[in-house]
Amino acid sequence: MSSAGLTAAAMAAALRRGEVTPQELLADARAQVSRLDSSLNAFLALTDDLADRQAERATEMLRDDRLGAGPLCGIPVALKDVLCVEGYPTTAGSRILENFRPPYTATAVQRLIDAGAVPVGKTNCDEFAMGSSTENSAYGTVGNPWDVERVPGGSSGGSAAAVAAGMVPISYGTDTGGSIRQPASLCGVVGFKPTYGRVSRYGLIAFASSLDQVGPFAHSVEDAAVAYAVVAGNDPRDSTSVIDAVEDPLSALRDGVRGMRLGVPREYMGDGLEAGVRERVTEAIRVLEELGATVEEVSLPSTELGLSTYYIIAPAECSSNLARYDGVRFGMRVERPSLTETYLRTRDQGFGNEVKRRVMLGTYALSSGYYDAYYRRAQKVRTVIAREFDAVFETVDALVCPTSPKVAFTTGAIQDPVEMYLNDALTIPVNLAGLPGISLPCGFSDELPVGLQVIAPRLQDARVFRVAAAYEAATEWHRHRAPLVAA
Amino acid sequence: MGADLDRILDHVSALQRADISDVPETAQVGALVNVWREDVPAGSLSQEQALANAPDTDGEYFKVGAIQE
Repeated sequence: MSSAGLTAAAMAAALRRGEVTPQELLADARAQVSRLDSSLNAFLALTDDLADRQAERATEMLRDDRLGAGPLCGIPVALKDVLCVEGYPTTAGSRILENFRPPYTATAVQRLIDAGAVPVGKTNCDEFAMGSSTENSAYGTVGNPWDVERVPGGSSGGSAAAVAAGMVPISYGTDTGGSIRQPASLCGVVGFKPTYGRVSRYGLIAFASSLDQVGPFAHSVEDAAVAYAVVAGNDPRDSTSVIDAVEDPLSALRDGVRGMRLGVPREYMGDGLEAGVRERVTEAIRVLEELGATVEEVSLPSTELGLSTYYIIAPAECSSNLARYDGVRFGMRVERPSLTETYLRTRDQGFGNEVKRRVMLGTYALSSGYYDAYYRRAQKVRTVIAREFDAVFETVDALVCPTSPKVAFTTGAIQDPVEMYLNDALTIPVNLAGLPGISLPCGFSDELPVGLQVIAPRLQDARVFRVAAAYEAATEWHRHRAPLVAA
Repeated sequence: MGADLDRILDHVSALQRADISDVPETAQVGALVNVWREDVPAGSLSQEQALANAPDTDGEYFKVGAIQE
C-alpha cells in the first residue's frame, strides 16, 4: 500500500517500527508525482540524486542511535523553487533564472539535509513569489488537487498542491503577504508563517526582504510544528535572524485553549467574505469557545489600509532586490550592441508582467518627489498597523479569523490586479507586523476547502500551534484528503 | 500595463487619508539592534564558482558589451 497522504508523524513511526524504509517512502512520493503531476504541474524539477543520497543517509541515521535521527529523518519533502539548493536548478518561477544553478544552499534547506529529510524536488510558484494563484509562474499554472480547473492559491501554490495531492507529507514555501497561508487555505492543508526572522533567509531568493519568511505546509498541525522546528533558529548569515532561542513549538501542543482569550477582528469578518467562508469560520470559532476559550470581538481599524501599505512597501523592496538581474553575472542575457540595451532587453524578456508591474510601482514609489507621499507614508502606516496588533494583544492571547476571503477560484477567472491582491487582504497585515500566523482546514464550501487563520504576538509561534492543535484535535477536517490522492 | 498601474495607484491612494502625524516609520519589525559579528576571515566562492552561471566570460572575468562608444 502506498504511503501517499499519510502524515509525516505516521511515516516516522512506520520507519522506526521498520515497516517501511526511506527508499520506499521516496518511491511512493515519486510514484505519486509521476501519476499526478502531468495534470497538477506542482513540480518544476526533481532533485533525484540528492533525494537518493538523503534516503541512504536517513537509513544510516535510523540504524545508528548515535546519529540522532529526528522526526523528519527519511521523510520526503518538497521545496519552493525560491530556495537555493547547490547545483540544482532554482528558477523562482522566472525565465530570467531558467538555467541558474546556485553555488550554495539555503540555510533552511541545509538544516533539512542535516536532519536526514529527503528533498524530492523544487515546486512551482508565482514568479519571484509575486502572486496569489501561481498563475504568474513562467512555467505554467498549477492545478488545485480538489479541482484541477481551479488555482491552488499562491505564491507557494506548488508546495501547497504537493502536500494536498499526497506527493509529500511536508513542503516548504515562503510567505511575504500570505503566500503560505492563502494556498494552504485553498488546498485544504496546514500552512505556517513564522514570526519574521525565525527562519533564516540566507539562500532564499529575495522578493521583499522586510516581509519574506520561510515556513512549512503539512497535513497536521503537529507535522507543521515539527517541520518548523527543524528549520527555525538563529543564523549568523542572516542579519535579520532572531537571536532569542526558539521556544519548542511542540511544548504547548496538547495544552488546549481552556482559559485562553481569543479575539475575532471585526474588520476580518466584513463584506468581502464569501458566505461559505464566513459560515465555516464562525462554526470554527464556536468550536474553540466550546473547548473553553473566551471569544470576544476586537477591532483593528487600519486593516483596510494594509493592502495599500503592502503594495507600496513590497514593490519598493522588490524593485531594489530585482535590480541584480542584469544579465551580467548570472541568469539570462539578451545580447544587444550596447550594455544599456542589453539590460533593457534582458529584463523585458526575462520578467513576466506582474514582476514588471511591481518593479515599476516600486521605483515610482521610491523616486524623488514621490518618496514622501508613498514609501515614507506607507512605512508610517505600517507602524500604525503593528501598534494596533500590539494593543489588541493586551486584551487577547491570539486572534482567530478567516485566512482567505474566498475558496479556490477557477484558473483565469481573475484578470484585474487589484482584485487579485484582495485575496491577501486578511494575511498581509500579519506580515507587515512581523507576526506568526497559521492556516488550518476548517471545513468546506461547495466542496472546496476553507481555512481558519490563527495569529499570535511576535515570537509566540508556540501559541499559534497551541490554538491550532486544540481546534484540530476537536475536529476531523484535517483527515480529509482530495479524492485524487488515492490511486 | 498603464491602465493596471493607474488602477493600483488609485487603490493605494487610500494611504493619503491615514492619520500618521507623529508616527515613526517602521525600519524593521524585529527588536534587533546592531547585529555584530567577529571579523573572522572565512572562505568565499571560488572564481570558478562565481563565473559558473555567467552568460559570458573570458575564463577569468564576466564579459559584457562595450560600455563606451
